[in-house]
Amino acid sequence: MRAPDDDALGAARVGTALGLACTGPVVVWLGASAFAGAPPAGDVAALGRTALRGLWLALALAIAGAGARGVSSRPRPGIAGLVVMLGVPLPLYLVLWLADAVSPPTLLRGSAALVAGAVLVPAFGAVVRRLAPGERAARLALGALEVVLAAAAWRTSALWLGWVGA
Amino acid sequence: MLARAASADGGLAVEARAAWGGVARAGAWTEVAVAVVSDVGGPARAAADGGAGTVAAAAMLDADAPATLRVPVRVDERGAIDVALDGPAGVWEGAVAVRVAAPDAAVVAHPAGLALDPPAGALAVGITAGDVPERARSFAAVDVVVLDATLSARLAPAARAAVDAHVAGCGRLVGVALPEAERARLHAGAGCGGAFVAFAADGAAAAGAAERLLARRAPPAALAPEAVAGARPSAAARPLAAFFALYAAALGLGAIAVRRVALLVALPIGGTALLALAVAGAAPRVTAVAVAEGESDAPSARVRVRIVLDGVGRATAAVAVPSALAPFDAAAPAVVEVGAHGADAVVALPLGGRRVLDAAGVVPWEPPVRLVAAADGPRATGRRAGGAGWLVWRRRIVALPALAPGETWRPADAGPPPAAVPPWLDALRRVEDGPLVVLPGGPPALARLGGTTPIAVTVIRPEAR
Repeated sequence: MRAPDDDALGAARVGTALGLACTGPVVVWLGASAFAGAPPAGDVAALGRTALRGLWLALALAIAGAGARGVSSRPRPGIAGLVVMLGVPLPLYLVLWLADAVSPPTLLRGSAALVAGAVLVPAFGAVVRRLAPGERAARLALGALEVVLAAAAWRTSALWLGWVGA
Repeated sequence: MLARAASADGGLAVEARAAWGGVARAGAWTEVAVAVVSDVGGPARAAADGGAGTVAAAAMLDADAPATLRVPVRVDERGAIDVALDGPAGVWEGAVAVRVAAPDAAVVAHPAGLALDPPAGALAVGITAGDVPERARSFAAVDVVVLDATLSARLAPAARAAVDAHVAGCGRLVGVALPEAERARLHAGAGCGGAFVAFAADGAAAAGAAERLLARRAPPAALAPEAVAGARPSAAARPLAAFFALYAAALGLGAIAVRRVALLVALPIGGTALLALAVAGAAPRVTAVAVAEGESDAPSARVRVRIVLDGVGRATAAVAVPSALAPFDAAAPAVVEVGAHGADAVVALPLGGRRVLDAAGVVPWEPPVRLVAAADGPRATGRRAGGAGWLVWRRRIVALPALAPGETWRPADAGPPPAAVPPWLDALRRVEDGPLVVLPGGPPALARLGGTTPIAVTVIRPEAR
């Protein structure tokens, strides 16, 4: 059996890798489109808002798809791993704020929504795992949960991104 | 065309009046003269907004002494200039109506007492000395200025200097019955070899002269500052690229090698703090490019300037240009302050933001090289010690050596082009037959622009007189 510290470290590593996977392409896209050329005034802010929407959608999909069991099979390390993942884009948030692409309240609302998802999804996964009649049924139920949550995050993205103001 | 009122508390009597008899051209500079008498002495600031940016001028008022603040302003199609005066005895706000000339109608400004039949299709405006603006850029509102001896004698020194700068910048002027000395002075100071200055004996002859001048078009500038500046990526691109590459490497290594969760949490926080320290308050990068152009026998150069501000953090930048080039066209949401020193503005810039400020004017200048377009080919003679440059002639570029004073040089008929030629010079070669001398560097008045040393280029056209 693995020690709790090992679980937390493993989840944090997975979270870091997920955060890099979500943030890296957005940073590369934003750098290539907004900073590499010679944009007229205002373009960086508009591109930054698009980048932020893309980033938050990717993070939401990562929480939905990997939050229940991908980061860790136990809820507390899972939550910690997802929170580490959500910390990875912090420098990008700073850049977007400095570029007038996003306001601090919007960043706070968006981050709070994602943190809430990062807490609720692993907890929900633990409940599903406990209620399932067996290991196989738990795997099936968690798989179904991931698909449903990811589809819901995708389909309702305009709604929740609009709510946070992105 | 004028707004006259007292402030609400009665301590301030203000009269605002647009230049050129209230005729203006959409998108072009004109001027508002704000005459004020205040019960109380102290600082006053007049601001004018014609729909294309706010410009302000400040002055110190003496109690009960009339003073005039002149504010250059660009107008748009709506034909009204909002004017506000904040003085020691109160605040006054008003609007000055202007008549916006049709884009295809030439505007001829002439002394109000001079009988002048305007050329066909032209709009004639009678003016007095108070209608003549005190900045050459405000002459953009009219196509021809007709000046007689009476009007000329009544001009304020600043307005006279503006007329001289207008003429030096190849602006059209018809002098009517001017004294010989003034004619000689105007002709000697005129740009474009004096091709846009004419003299007439009376109003009827002035109308004909104005018509002939209107038929001439000033030669387009050989080089634009934006061509010399070229396309530049955002100043924030390199530091951000370096930071995110290091950050990604640190996170990647951390995910493999770090044995404590706290360190993985600390990495993004530490990276963000470092980035904030590095760029949050970083001043914008200011790049200025100036192109000076003139005939080799002219006493002044026509100058166009482009100042580009690139936001590296979230900060403001103060930009200034000297009086001869003021005011600059502020596309940025900034108030341009004008005064005897020139024009300045404080521009707020976010990271990655870019603002472009253009300015133009005429500066005193003695070209370092005398260029003569003779029948057997051009020849350049050094006037004072200077650096090497290029000669553009018959769509080719020839390296021009540094010439000692009095030394004469002629280009060889054939020979290899210079090894390294800037791209803007190669572009110039494709469209200009020449001969033109192109030198790096500019007139001394351009030594500092926008708080930085500009990239300056001088274009010398052949003698035209």
